[in-house]
This record gives sequence, C-alpha cells and structure tokens, in this order.
Amino acid sequence: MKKSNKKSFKFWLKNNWLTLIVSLLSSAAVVLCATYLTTL
Amino acid sequence: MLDFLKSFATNLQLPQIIAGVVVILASTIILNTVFQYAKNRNLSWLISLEVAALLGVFCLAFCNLPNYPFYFYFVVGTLAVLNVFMFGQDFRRDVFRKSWKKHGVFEANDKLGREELKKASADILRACQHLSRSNIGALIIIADDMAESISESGTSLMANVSAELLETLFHPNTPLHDGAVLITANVIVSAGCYVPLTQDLDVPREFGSRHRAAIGISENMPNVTAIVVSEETGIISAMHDGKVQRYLDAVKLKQILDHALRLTNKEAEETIWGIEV
Repeated sequence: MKKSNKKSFKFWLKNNWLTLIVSLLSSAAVVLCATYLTTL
Repeated sequence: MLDFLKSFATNLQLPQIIAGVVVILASTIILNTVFQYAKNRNLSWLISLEVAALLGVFCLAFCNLPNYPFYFYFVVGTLAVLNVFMFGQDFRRDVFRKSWKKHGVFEANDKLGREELKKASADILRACQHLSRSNIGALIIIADDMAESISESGTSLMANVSAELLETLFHPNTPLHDGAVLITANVIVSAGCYVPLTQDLDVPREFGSRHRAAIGISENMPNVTAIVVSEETGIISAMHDGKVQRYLDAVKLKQILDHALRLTNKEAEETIWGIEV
C-alpha cells in the first residue's frame, strides 16, 4: 500500500512539477510582498 | 522594496525563517490546488492570468508607489474571490470524495465497496435497457456527493440500487415517475426530484424537458452524470459536464456508468467524454 502511494506520488510529481514550481514561486512572491507591506 | 529586501536578507533569524517557510508552503498548497483544478478544466489561460497578476503586483512593489497596499489587496482579493467562484464546486466534490473514501464507499482497494458499485452499475444498465425497450422515459442522476439541493426537492428513499426498483419508480402514472432519480454510489437517495432546465438555446429541438433538465444539471454540477431514456424513441443518452452522448449501446453505457460511479480511473473521462477545447 505504502509502495503504491509512493509510486503514485512520483507519477503525480512527474506530471505536475511545472505547476508546483509556478505555485511555489508565486506564493514566495506574495509572501514577500505581504511582508513588505507590514514595513510600509 | 530593494532596501527592504537587503534588510530582510541581513536580519533573518531562525524563527522568522521557519515561519516564512511554513507560510510559503501553505500558500503553495492552496495555489497548487487551484492550478490543478484549472488544469483539469483546460483553463491554462487562467493559470497564466493569475501568475501574471501576482508577478505584476510583485514588480509594482519596486516602483515605491504611495498606494501600493491598495493594488496588492485588490489583486490578491480579486483572485481569491475569482477562485472561490470558479473552483468552489470542485473543492467541495473532492472533500466529499475524501470523506466517502474514509467511510469505505469509494475505497478502490475495498473489495466489498467495489463489488457493490459494480452491481449498482449493472443494475442501472439493466434498468435503462428495459425502460428503453418499453419506451418509458427516465432521468437518472448519478452524483458524487449528496447533491442536497436536488435530493430535498424529491422523496427520500435511501434504498440500495436495484433494476426492479428503478423500473418501478419510472413506471407511468405513478406519483414519482416524472422527476429525476438521484443515485449516490449504490444508494438511490431520492426520487421525483426537480432539476433546473438548461438555458442554452442551441439545444436541439427534439430534446424534451427531460433532456434539458439532464443538460442543465450537468452544466451546473460538473461532477454529475445524468442518464436519460427518451419516452418517444427509447434512445438512451448521457450528459456530463454539459457534454451529451446519444444513441448509447450497452457497452458505451456501461463505460459511462462505471466512470460515473468512479469504478474507472480519471483518464477514462477523456476517453468517454473527450477533452473540452
């Protein structure tokens, strides 16, 4: 069961790595902007 | 913004780093979920639009605008509202599906659950064929979640799916035969339900109110599959996500039912219903 979960996650990652990176970068940008807002 | 970045990089402390990483991970999960929904619905342009908007707001921070907070809150707020409107239904569906898995109804490895779903699929198929041969009209809605707004408009049954019960429910001159039967997994939730009709004017004229109701519900709730048996011709049709499949034979109908009851994987949806362009 654990093995198949691992396999399916790898498969998911292989298909969605670009979306994941775009989400990560967008989130980092938003969090940075929000932190900047607190200093204004 | 540049000064802020310099002081931010030099004054970083461990608790701040940990908090920042947690917040970034949490928002990554939220954004990734939204982007996955958009991808599944072939809305790649929406992902590009949202990324461009967020990138724009990030770049604006370098311009030292006096009313920058307004632009930030406007863009982020608009995107949040847009996403809730666009993908709220998908999110609810996934939450319901997860809770079902928890109860073992849709657990793929749960042999008993899977066997029950297979039996339900076979029973619906048999009922549709009998109804088609007898030219008895029928509207069967198969929904992932309980679709409360629909089930409450009908008479609650909560009975296991059986071909005989379905045929009885659609028998003419009985009180419940005119509405829709709502099925969730292997349970007939309610019968005689009222369903909103589609407002699309391009629907062929030969489609009666039963077909229009089926298209309407599939447009409003993309997780729903509606099966219609025509009263006049006995033709079996299926509707899903606003798409229509007509003149269904036993093989095709079985594929559609198996997909509706989640007996097949997600890729089967593209094979059966095609990719929306």
